[in-house]
Amino acid sequence: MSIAPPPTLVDALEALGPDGRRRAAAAAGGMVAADVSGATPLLDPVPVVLDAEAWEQLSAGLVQRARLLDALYADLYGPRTIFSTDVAPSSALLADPAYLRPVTGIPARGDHHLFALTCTVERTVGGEWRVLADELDVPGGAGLALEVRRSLSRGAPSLYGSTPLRRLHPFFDRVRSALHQRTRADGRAGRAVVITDAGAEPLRAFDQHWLANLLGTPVVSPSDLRTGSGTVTLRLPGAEPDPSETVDAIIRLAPSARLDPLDLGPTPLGGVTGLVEAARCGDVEILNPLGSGLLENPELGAALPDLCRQMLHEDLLLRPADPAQTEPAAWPGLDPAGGHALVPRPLRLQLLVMATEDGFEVLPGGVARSHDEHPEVLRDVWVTMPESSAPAAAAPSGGVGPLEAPSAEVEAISSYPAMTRSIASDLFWFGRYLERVDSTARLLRTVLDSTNDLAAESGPASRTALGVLLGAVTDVTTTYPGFRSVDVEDTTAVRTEIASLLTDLGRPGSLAQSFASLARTTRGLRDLVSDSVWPVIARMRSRIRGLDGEQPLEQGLTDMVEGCLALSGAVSDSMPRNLGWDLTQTGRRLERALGLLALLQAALGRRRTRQAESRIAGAVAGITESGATYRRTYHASIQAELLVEMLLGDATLPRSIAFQLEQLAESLDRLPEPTPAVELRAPLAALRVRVGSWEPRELLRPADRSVGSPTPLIEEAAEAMRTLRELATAVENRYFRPSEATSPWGVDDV
Amino acid sequence: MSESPETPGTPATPPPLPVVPLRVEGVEPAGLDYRVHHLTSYRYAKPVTRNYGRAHVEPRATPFQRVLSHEVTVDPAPARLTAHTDFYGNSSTYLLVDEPHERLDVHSRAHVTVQDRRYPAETMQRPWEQCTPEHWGPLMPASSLDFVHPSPRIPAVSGAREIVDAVFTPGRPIGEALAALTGLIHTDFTYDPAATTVASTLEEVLSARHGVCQDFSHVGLAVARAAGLAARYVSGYLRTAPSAEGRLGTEPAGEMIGSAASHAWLSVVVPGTGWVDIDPTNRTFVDQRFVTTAWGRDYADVPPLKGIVIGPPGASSTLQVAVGVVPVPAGS
Repeated sequence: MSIAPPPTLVDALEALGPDGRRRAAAAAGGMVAADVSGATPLLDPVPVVLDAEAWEQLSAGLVQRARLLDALYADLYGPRTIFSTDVAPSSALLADPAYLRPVTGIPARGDHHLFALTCTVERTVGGEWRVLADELDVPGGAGLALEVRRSLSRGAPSLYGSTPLRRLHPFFDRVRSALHQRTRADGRAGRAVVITDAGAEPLRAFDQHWLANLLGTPVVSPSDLRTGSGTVTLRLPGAEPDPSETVDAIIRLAPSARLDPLDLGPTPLGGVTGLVEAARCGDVEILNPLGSGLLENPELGAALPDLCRQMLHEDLLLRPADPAQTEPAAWPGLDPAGGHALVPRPLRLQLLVMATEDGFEVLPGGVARSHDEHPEVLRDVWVTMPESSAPAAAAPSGGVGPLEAPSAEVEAISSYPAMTRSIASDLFWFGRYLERVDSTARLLRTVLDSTNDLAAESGPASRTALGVLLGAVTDVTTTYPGFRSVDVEDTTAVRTEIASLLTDLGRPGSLAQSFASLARTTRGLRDLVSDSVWPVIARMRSRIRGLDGEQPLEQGLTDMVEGCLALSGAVSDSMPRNLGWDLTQTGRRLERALGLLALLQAALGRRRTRQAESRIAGAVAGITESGATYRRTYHASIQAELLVEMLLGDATLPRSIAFQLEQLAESLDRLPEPTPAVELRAPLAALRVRVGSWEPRELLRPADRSVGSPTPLIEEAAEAMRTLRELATAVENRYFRPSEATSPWGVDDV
Repeated sequence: MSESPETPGTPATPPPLPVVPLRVEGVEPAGLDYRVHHLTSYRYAKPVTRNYGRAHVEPRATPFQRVLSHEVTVDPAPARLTAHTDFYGNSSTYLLVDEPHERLDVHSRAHVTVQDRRYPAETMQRPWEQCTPEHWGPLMPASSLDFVHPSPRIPAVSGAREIVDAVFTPGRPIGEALAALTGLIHTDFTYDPAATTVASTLEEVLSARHGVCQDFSHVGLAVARAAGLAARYVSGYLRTAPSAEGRLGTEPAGEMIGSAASHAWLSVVVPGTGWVDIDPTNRTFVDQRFVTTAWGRDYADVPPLKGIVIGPPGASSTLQVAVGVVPVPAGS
């Protein structure tokens, strides 16, 4: 038994050399796709290696622990016999707020209650494993383990090719298969869904969504579920619940305590009303079961040796850590002080136990976290293949013998509905926020350019143009008073306001806030689009943070525009053309049309001098990416009338109003209809007729020809925007918005 | 504040203790039979879509109470009506009405026999310090430790500590201390249904010195627990006056506060006797006038009725509660 790195790995580490190892760490760190709220996690490419024998010993202890905690759950939420013994920490358990009294007596569908357990362990210098903590209410770490493995194997391919090690994916295949068996028992459809923690910080949200993905279960919001008399059903967009859309199991990644406002409380209302009773009656199984967090009670650890003897009639294999007495073993890794040699660092291993058809099983790998005075570093945990079964091929196939045998036949997975209300709403708003972030970034970038131009070439026309453009920023983003209260020639004040519009998360209309909303809507999108959405979002988030003075604003804005292009490309190339696509398109077209109308209204809504108007029109062409088309069409400097004519009427231009309305009409036509959507189509048709009748020359020429007087464009654009906003509200009401209120009963004061 | 005629005197004077000899083997003391009918009615301004409810309204069996029959009915007909025995051994009822409705009536009907409570004099003479868990002995189940700790609605608060010092003086017999606690709450706190709601916190009640029976019970629980005793919240009813004409007979019996509605009091572990129930609202030890439905750590564990209604925005509701606890001749 050994925890020493195998010779093949030692050779590969040697071959990389100190510089190669650091380059690998940096490369891998840059590839972490997790969208993190803080700094990107630091990675160390030197793995923690456990040979087959060491792993066998450790995983036997973890499996026993899972069995013991499972038995404890069954007792604490069942007969509660352990309180009659003197070995349980009765007072500590009874005083624990995680002990949810209303969920007692809920049966398990299989032969165990628990589905997953995350265990943090360390090794003593004496070679013993000790448990530091258990995570049971919301066990995490599956997605992070895979991400660390993926990033490091890409960042340091020579290390990963050096030694045969067990792969991680087959484990999740076995978990999925067992889950499917369990949920489809008794003639059920076998449909499982995941509820994630809406309040989780981004790294945890990433971890949870990846687990959902690995298990092949869609993520739903509690508001998508409805309990009834015998079934829990999914609420679909725009429709009453279809009794056939039943849910048989909920993988619960949200804390227990807020999941049923009826039985668990507290207000404000959230969760799934009646969920506890639905579980009690066997309509649905919740995994991990509600109230599992009680097993995280810190005083339970010391009692486990006695409880194990009493409940399992076995000796406990993994003892709790005693920080006063345990000296943790150290594992060689990169020197945090920057030295060339590998230095020993104490580590904590985060390991995942889940239920498979063979009982509890441990993921053969995981994440090791450094635990010393230096910043935390994540490392991969390797479990090497037993020498007898190591394949000769360079590419290790992973897994162990019989478990890897494919099942006789692959059963078709029960189909899931295309999407639920909450995902439909996310997709619609994803479309809207994507356009909002894109147009805000483009607008601010152009305005920054104009500010810089003014410094180089000051004149009345450029001053007027800049003033109008800055005013347009405030109007389009509705961030009043904004530039209305700023002297446009005060460069410092202008840049301060721009910086606030970029980075102020608390300011409605700012780029930072629109981006935060965009990021929120992409959480559910991961299942539907592709994994590559996440690293794009992660990079955009780091750019937004970087806008706070670390880099030129212009560069940061260009990166944001590129991020939007990448998201747009991911959607176009990977998204199935179904309801989700149509809703995303509806959101995008509405928002882009609204943004463009607001821009035209603010920038060209008033009579200006020829020179100023030409400059403004040039900026608008830049913002709307129509300069190149314009120059090919007209061999003249940019004139407002011609540009407006193009932006309104040229249906071949993807940023024109005509294009948006045409696409919008097509998307609306494809939306499912509980009733024919006349209320949606008729106003849009009328708007298209109206826009088609606009005459740009008349729109831009006011009756009053004096500079600054309003043009008819202001009124026309306002009217069109009103119609589009009503349309957006109608789509929301029809497809996502709950038409019902949920309120607690008035109660009898006793 | 309404004074009940049977609670005269100063707070220092405890009400007379019902110290009675132990039962004679084989002789069943006479019980009082009650017909209980608890009706909760909601009326909605607009039809609501669905209604989920959780009720703790069925009387439970205790050493002093037998439940001869009980039944919960819901109108309109519920899609699901289930009952299970909850963590504390209470009957917990779940109901779901899954069709549009403008009114919801929940009836709980029961027939119970209540015995008088007799506590051995020598146990009530025990110094209160010898009633804490370490003095319980083997007969008290360890699960009773559940009632020693702060609970969701009863955090450890300094206001309770002050009352402990006034009531639980060194060496005081537990019976006398409990009577003093009952008297102190009754005297120092004003019964005022308008002063608090079910959402009022213990701190608010302690500082305002106003409340209803639920609040008074919480104060008593906080004090008893601060003294190191195990104390639980008890939910139930008080006897109402027999009614000649009305079937419900929901006229208050007159002498008691909190009859003709749900009532609440508290119960404290006294080793050698078990649980001793006191009612601060009426300044009395609990006797044959009380019908017990459920107990828990505090109100949050056993509200008589709670629920979630789903319906059009602005569908306001009105609530009416009627409780009849009418004595009937035994065997009728």
